[in-house]
Amino acid sequence: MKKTLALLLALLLCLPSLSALAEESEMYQRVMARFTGELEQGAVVNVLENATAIELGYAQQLIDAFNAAYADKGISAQLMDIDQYSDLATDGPYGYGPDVWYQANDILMKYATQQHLLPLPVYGLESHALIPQNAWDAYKMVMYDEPFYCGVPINVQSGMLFYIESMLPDDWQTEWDVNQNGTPDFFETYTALYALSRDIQENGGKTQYGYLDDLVDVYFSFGYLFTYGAYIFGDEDTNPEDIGLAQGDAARGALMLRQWADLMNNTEVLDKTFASAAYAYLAQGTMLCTVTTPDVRQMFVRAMVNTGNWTQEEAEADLKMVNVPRLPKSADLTSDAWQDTITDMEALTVQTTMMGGINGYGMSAYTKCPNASLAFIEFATSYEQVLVRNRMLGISPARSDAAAEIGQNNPTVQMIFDNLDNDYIYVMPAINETAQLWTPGESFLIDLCTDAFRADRGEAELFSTLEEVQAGLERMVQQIYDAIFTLS
Amino acid sequence: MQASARRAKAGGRLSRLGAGMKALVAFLRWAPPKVWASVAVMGLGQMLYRQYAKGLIFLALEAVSVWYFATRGVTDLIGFFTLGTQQEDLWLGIAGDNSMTMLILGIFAFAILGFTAALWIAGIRDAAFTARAVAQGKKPRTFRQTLAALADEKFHVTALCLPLVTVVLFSVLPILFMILIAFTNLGGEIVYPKLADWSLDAWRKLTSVGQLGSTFGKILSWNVVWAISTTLINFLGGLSLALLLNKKNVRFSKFWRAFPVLAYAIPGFISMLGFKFMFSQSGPINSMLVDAGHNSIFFLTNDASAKWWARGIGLFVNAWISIPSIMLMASGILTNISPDLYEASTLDGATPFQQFRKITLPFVLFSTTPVLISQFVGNFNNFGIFFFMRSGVISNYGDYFLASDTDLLINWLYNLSVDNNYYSVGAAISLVIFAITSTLSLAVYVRSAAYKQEDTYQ
Repeated sequence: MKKTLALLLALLLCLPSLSALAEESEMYQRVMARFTGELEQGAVVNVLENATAIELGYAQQLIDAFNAAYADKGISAQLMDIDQYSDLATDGPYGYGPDVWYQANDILMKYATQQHLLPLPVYGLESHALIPQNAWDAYKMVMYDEPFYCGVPINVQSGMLFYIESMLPDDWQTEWDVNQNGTPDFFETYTALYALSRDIQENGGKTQYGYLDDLVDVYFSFGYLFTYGAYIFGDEDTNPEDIGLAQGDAARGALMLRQWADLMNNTEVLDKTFASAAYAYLAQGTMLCTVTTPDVRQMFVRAMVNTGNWTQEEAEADLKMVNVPRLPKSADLTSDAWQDTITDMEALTVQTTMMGGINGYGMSAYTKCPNASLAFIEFATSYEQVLVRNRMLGISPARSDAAAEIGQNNPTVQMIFDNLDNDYIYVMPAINETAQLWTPGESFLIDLCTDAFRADRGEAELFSTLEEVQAGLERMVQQIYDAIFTLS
Repeated sequence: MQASARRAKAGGRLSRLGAGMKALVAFLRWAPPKVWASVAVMGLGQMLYRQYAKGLIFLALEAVSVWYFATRGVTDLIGFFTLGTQQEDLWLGIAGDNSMTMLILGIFAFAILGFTAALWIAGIRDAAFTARAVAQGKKPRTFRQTLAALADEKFHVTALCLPLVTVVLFSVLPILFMILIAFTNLGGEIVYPKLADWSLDAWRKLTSVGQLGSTFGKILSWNVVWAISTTLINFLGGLSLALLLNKKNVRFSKFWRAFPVLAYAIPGFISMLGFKFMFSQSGPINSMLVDAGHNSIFFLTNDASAKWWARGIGLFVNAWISIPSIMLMASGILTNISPDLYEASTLDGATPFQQFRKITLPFVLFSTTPVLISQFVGNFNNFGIFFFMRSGVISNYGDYFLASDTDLLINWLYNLSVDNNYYSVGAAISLVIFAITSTLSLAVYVRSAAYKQEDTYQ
C-alpha cells in the first residue's frame, strides 16, 4: 500500500518537472551543452565523500559498485584521499579538487554563485520526480534570469528528539499519556515536556533533568523563530538584503528559549561544547532527552555501551528517536495546562519547524569529464544505492520511493521525509550569504540565554520583555546584514 | 641644532646626487662607439672587443628577454594595470581573465624587466671596463680570465647572485603581492571568476569612522596591550623561575625543572584545548564552583562579564606555554655570569635586589633583547590562543564587526580574509601589523644594549 502511495506521489511530483522540460530555453540548452551523454572514454571520476561514509565503508562500496557497473563503458571512479572539505574557488581554477562532491547543500551552494559548481540537467534524471521540490530548491540558483539546479539531493538532515526508553518515568503510562495513544505526552508538546522537566528537577526522577540541550546552537534553536513566522532570506531565501529573522512573532518564539534556560538553570547549555557531552549525559541519566541530528545516533549507542549498563543490541533497541514536540500557539511554555495541549492539540499547538539541510552531490565546474561525472551522480542517487546508504549510514533519503520502503520498518525515516515534504523542515538557503548567519546567530542566542542567569548575579537583565528580545533580534539581523554588505 | 643637522644631511644628499649626475654626463661624453653598441644591443660591445663568449651570453639573455616580452611579458605588464578585461563564464564555457593570476604574472613581468635592466647595465659597465682597459693599452679579458675574476675579485657578485634571485622570487615577490592586494577590491563578491580592480576602498573602510574603523581601533589597542603585557609576563615569569631553580638552596631543582619542560614539550594547541575545556561552562572549574555553592563564571562565553576573564585566561595560557622556553634560555644565560661579580658586589654591601637590578637583569637583557623582540612580534601575531579558546564568538554588546573583544588583529584578519574572503581588507590589516611590529621591533632593538654595546661582552 505504501509503495502504491509512493508511486502516486511520484507521478504527482512528475508534473512540475514535465512542465519544466517543456520550458527548456535556449540559454538552458547552451548551459547544458556539455552534457552530451557521451561518456569520456578512460575518464576517472574523482569523488569526494564525507568522512563518515569513508569511515563506515559506504564510500568504497559505492566506488566498487560503480566501477563494476561501468567496467564495460570505459569510465571509472576513485575516492579522493583528502579531507571531506574542498575549496573549489581556490583549488578548482588550478586543476585541483574533486569532479563530484558529496556535502550539505549550504556548503556546496556557496560555490555555485561564483559558478564553481556546475548546473546539472536534473529534469532528465531518474530521481527527479521522486524528490520533493523543496529538496531541489536547496540546490536551486537563478542565473541568466533562469533557475538552475547545482546538485542532486540524497538525504535530509534535521533535528530529532533522542531519549532512552528505559529511562522514562515509571508512571508515564498512567500520568503522562492523557490521550492514551501510547506516546508519552511530553514528547508530543513542548508544554508537556516543560512540565515534566520542571517536575523532575523539583521532585527528582530517574534522571536529573527532563529536557536538557545546548540552547545556543543556531541549527537547532532557530526552529523557535521559524515556527512563529521568521525566515532567513526573503524571496524564497534568495534575497540576502531581506533578512527575516526578526519577522513575525520570532521574538515570542525566542523568549521560549529563555524560558528553557531559566528552567534548566545550568550554564552548560550556553556552551556548544555541551553537544560533545550530551551523549554521555543521556547514557548516564543526567537528562531524559535532547535534540540533535539522526547521523549521530551511533554516538549515543556507543556512550550507552560504555556505561556498562547496555550491550550493543540492548542500546540499539533502547535508544529512541522521535519528531521534536509541537510548540504552543501562545509561544509560552507555561500559559496552558500541559494536559490541555494534549487533549486540544490542534487548537493550542503548532507543528515545530526545524532548520535542516539537504545533503547531495554536486559537480565541479572544472571537471574534465562532465558526462562520466553525471553518470556517477545518477548511479549514487539511484534507488538501490540510497537503500544501501541508509543501511550502512542510517541516512534519511530525499527520494520518496526509498523513504517509503525504509519507512515500513523505520517510521522515523518516513517522518523526516514527511516533515520535509510538508515544509516543517526549513532547508538552509542555497546562497553563499548563509555563511554569515552562524556567528551573529550564536552570539545572540548566548546573550539571550545568559539572561536567565543575570539576575542571580546581580546583573541587569537584558531580555526580560518582548520588546527587548525584538531589539536583540533586530541587532542580530543588522550584524548579519553588515557581515554580508559592509565589505562588499 | 637639530634643524641645522637636518639641513646638513639634506645638503649631503643633494651633493651626492649632483656628483652622480656629473659622473653620468662624463661617462656619456667619454663612451666610445663600442660601448654605445652595448647600449643598443646587449653583448654587441663585448663582441666588438672580440669577447665572443661573453657577448653571446649577453645576447642570448637579451633574446630570451625579448622573446618573453614578445610572447607574454607585455601582455602581463598590461594585465597588471587592467587586472583583466574579460570575465570568464564557467557555465557557458567562455574563457576570461583571472585578476589574481594577472596580478602575480604582472609582478613577475616587472621582476623580469628589472632583471633585464640590471643585466643591460651590467653589460654596459662591462663594455666600459673593457674600453678603459684597452685605452690603457691592456688587452680585453678573455672568457677564462672573466670567469677567474668572478671566482676571485668579483666573488661577492657570484656568491650573492643566486641568493639574491631566490630572495626576490620567494620573499620579495610574495610580499609585494600581499601589499598590492591591499590596493585592490579583491574579496567578498569580487573573487574569481569576477574581475577585480585597483582601489583604495580597503583603506577607506579601515580608516572610516564606521563600524569597521571602530572595530579596528578597539582591536588594535587591545592588541598592543596584549603584546606588551604577555611578553613582559612571560619574560619575567621565565626569568623568575630560572633564578629560583638556580638557587643552591632549592632541593631537587632538576626534578622541579622537569615540570615546566613537560608543559613546554606538550604541543601548544593541546594545552589550549585543555584550558578551553577547563574554563568552559561544563568544565571542572565551574563544576567545582557550583558544587561549592557558588554561581558558575562566564569565563569564555559571549557575555560582557567574560571580556576580562577571557583576556586574563589568554594571558595565563600563553604564559603557561611560553614561560618554560624563557626559563630554559635564562637558565643557560645565568650560568655565564661570573660568580665573582656577585661576590664583589656582596663585599661592597649590595642587597640581593641591587644585585638583580645591576648585574643579573642587564646581563640577561643584553643577551635576550633580540629574543624578546621576536617574542613580542610573535605575541603581537599570536593567532592560536584566542582562535582555540574563543572562536565563533562575536561580541554583541561591544559592537564589534565580525570579531570578539579578545580577538587580536591576526584573528580578525583571519575572520575577514579566510572565513569571509575579504582579501583586500585582510591585506591592509596585515600591512598595518607589519608596520607596527617592524617599527616597534627596530625602535627597541636600536635602543637596546645588545645593539649599542655590541662589543662590550665579546
